[in-house]
Amino acid sequence: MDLNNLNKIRSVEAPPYLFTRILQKIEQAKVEQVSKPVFWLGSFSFMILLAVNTLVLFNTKTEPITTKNYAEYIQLTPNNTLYK
Amino acid sequence: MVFEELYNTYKKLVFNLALSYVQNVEDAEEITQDVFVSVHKSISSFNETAALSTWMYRIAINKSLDFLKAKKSKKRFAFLTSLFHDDSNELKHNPASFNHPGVLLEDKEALAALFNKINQLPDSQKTALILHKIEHKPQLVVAEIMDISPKAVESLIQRAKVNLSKKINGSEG
Repeated sequence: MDLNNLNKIRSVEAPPYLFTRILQKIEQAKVEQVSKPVFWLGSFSFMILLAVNTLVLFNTKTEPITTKNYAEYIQLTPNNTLYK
Repeated sequence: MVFEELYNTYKKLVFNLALSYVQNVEDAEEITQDVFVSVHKSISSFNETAALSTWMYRIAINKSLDFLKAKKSKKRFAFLTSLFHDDSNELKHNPASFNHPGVLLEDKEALAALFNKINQLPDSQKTALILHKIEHKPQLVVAEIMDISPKAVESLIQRAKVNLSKKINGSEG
């Protein structure tokens, strides 16, 4: 086995279809890549939404649920009359 | 320089260099694609003080070595999976076929055996050997591409030769 055998390797041409494939890959990468302003706008909107939800949750006063409250809420009637 | 012009100037260089690393047309095509996608992304960051060909060589070498690393880890994972799924029809050991279009049929066997040993060398020795012995680059140019001193290149090539002869004698003896 001789290193001079490496001299027998000939240079070859790249396949002609390769450039089209490269352009396809570049286009694909562009589509997949989310632009920075869109990313920050999305993140900012999500944070605002989260903040509003948290504020609403903590600032809403709710009455404790009792059997009477719940019965009124689902409109339970204390008699057997179905139609008024 | 327009991207297409850049591609036409360096496609042969990149494809042949990738072939020297992987000795397989399909893999060399994949590496060439990765190299030019990467070049397209980072062309604006190209440092004008370095030669464009040196820059192209560096990207092609890095992509080829990354490809080989990824392939090696994939192979290791496939081997481990096949140990646990003995009923699978996948081959436990699937050596990449030697498919170098620049090698004549009568030289194929000898070169496949030689590349088999070259592929076992450390990355830096393999790169120095490929650039010097296959790409026929002078040691000064190899040093510039690899960003090391010419003395270091000389030492890498010397060590590569010693390691190769050890491997060859070991397998023959």
